[in-house]
Amino acid sequence: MGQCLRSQMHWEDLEEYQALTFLTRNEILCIHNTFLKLCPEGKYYKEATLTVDQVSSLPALRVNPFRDRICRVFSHDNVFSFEDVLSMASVFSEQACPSLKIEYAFRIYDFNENGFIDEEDLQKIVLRLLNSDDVSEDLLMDLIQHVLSESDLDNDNMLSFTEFEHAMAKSPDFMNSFRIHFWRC
Amino acid sequence: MERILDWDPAAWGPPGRGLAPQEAGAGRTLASVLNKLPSAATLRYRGPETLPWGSLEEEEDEGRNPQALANAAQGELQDPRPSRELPWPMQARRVHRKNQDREQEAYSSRSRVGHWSLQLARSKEKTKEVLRSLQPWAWTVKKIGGQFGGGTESYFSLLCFLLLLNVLASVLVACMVLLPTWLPGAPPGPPGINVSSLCGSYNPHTSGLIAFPSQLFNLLSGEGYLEWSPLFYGFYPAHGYLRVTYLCWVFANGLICLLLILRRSVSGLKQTLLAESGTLTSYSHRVFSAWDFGLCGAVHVRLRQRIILYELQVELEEAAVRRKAAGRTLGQQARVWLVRALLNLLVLALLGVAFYGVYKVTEESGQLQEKTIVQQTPLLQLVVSYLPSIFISTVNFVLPPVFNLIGQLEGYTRSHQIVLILLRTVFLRLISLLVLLFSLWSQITCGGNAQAEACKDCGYNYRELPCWETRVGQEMYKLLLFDLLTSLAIALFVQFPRKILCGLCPGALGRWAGTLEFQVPDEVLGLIYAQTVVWVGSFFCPLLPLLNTAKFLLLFYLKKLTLFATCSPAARTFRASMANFFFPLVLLVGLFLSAIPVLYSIFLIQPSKVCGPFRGKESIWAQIPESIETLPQTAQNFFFFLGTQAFAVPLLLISSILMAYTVALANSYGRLISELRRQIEMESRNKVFLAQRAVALGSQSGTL
Repeated sequence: MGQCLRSQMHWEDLEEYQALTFLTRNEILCIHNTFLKLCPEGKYYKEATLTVDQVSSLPALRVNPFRDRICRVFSHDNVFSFEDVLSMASVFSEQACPSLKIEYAFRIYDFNENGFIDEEDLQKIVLRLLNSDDVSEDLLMDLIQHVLSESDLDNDNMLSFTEFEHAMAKSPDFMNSFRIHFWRC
Repeated sequence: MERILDWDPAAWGPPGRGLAPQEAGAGRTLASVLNKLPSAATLRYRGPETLPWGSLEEEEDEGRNPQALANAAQGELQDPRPSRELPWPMQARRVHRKNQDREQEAYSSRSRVGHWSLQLARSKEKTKEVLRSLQPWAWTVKKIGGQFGGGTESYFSLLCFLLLLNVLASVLVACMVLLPTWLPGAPPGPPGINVSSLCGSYNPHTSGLIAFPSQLFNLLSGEGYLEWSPLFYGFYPAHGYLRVTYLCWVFANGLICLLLILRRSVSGLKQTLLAESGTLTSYSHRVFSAWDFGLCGAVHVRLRQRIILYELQVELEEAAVRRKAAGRTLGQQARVWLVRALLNLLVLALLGVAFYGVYKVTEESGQLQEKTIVQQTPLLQLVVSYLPSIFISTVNFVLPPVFNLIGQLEGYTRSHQIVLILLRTVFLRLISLLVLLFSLWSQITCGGNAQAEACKDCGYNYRELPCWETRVGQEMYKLLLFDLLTSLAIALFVQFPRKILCGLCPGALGRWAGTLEFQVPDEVLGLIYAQTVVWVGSFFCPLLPLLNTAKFLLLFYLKKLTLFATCSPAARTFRASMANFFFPLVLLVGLFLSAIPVLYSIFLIQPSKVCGPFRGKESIWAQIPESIETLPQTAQNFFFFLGTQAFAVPLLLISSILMAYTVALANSYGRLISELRRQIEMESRNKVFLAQRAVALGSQSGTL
């Protein structure tokens, strides 16, 4: 567990990150510190990358049942650059706008990445939520049918992004539950 | 017109079998066909020089439409949204921001108006950021939300909000009441025993050597030295301008509290009203918002998973119950309603007993204080003076679990149960406070009988209560102190020992003792009750907001300590959305209820003749018309016009018209939304039908 070159972030970079993300100054600096501790030795932080395992083992993500999906959605070529980590923290921050959160929630929940949340995806979501293998088949099917009958407007047995957005925009709890605090300084 | 052949559902796999759509038919599935539509291209666009989302599976397919993507690129790059809101990678956002800045520079250099509007927008953003960073304890509240969920976080943010209200009220008191009192010089001391007027004499015992225990008891009950101090109404001298500022302070405080609470509740209301058909999307919400992403800690996670399973099972059971209930026979329905009516009667009976008890205890407490044996033992005197507070706290502690039990017998769904229990508890707490005040009122005004023996001469019971405003203030002060003492006592003597017991005793007993939960609804109602007490009492006890600020500060740190040291997340996840809507509403109800006794005292009860700034006046309000008469003539006319019917009736008419117009507008919007939604659904079904035909034709031509 080496450390990056200990360099302070330039003021212009900090300003730019503040303008491009929803994070506050303190949050960006905290994430910078965490990143420096984790990334390999001798590299400048802008060029260093973290592996998916390293990000999955962050305290904020360690116990999240969707952490593999989160890492897949936010990483590029299976590694995280510093800017990828910042983008991830920005989407999950308090101040992010609902449209951004809904957009990324859809991507995270689309397990087979075909652009729709279909029954297979719903099944995987429910099993991950409950994290137990002794969920009865009936409960699962019943639940999936209920979800589809509520939100599937065009009767194709899948949730498109617009249908998902329509359902989640009315859920006031969605914004509250789709938040992660990455700073642990 | 050609005959449209029936589409073959087998072309894209039977529904509900969990079959991956990719496996059906020659590589062309419904999803892949729909992904080629121009709307899908726009949705999946991820910025310049970035692959569109989901393009990994499409590499081998030449179906990717470069034209659609180019159109999407054109549209998105000129997107007027701020760069941070775009779901693109950082580099793409950078490019977009540079474009935006360049355009804005061009726009602002072209016109001065553009330049100034740009500067205004920038300064507004900067002030918003500064204000957000000024909020104290923001980090703590976020941390609590991360570990214990949204419901607990809403409690602490409500606590911070009430702290702000109390700080504002204290600042107002300092400027409008304390400053005018001390400006002309030190106010006079209490009238001694020698001074007696038509309405009796008033002698708060402030001088002389008193033993230390008596000092302590005086501090706790607001008597003795504290009775003639800036804490209570009686102390303030009868200066003309002090009267005006005192009244103005009361109204300004009420107005500011009303505006701030309205502002806070409007955002919660918007969220709740937005769900046009809340019950119809509850399953989607439960599945997609069930996991609180902020949870960390393996123990909490396991607990949360158990809770989600439990909730989903309960939801499905309730759906089955609802279906069964719809098919109930008349006899069964009648039985259910009979049971509900009986239980409601039981609840009303319990509430009636509680209120009658509060009334009687307050009366007895006043009478017991006259007995000589009580007067000689300070400890007994203290207990007697605290009797109303003790009774109210006991009732507030005992009855809500009973309501809980009754709620479970009524046969409503779980969510209905919770709402009913909360409503009953709110009713209990707020009305018992009003009953206490009613009991005091009947002591002060001899039961409203202006011709009674004791009240004939002065309009109030001058023998027992020479300075009745101070007496009311003392009751509110005692309620505040007792509330704080019970919170401290429960934390120290119940919660911490229970946690220690859990640590020492292994096994089931330890686990039972240790699973302490932070009960959000009860705690929030306690906060609202405490704030209502302060609102009622601040007219009679002007320094009460200052004391309440200190109390809430103490409470914040105490609850935070208790939470982190002893509690685990609540078993029933309390929906934060309900908290946003329901609790500010109850706070508003508390504000209005607290206005009733204060306004009644201002307008209808004669002020004490031997103490307070309004001594000698007919009513407290009478000061205002007198002061208005000293203003110049035009100002007088304006103020008197505001009080006439010629002003009130047109105002009422105009408000009613505006309200009717808004309601009609909302109705028409709702109809428009339903109409548009139907159209969208129809169009979507058309599109899906066509896509399914395309898939069917594709697989047919593939097999041929």
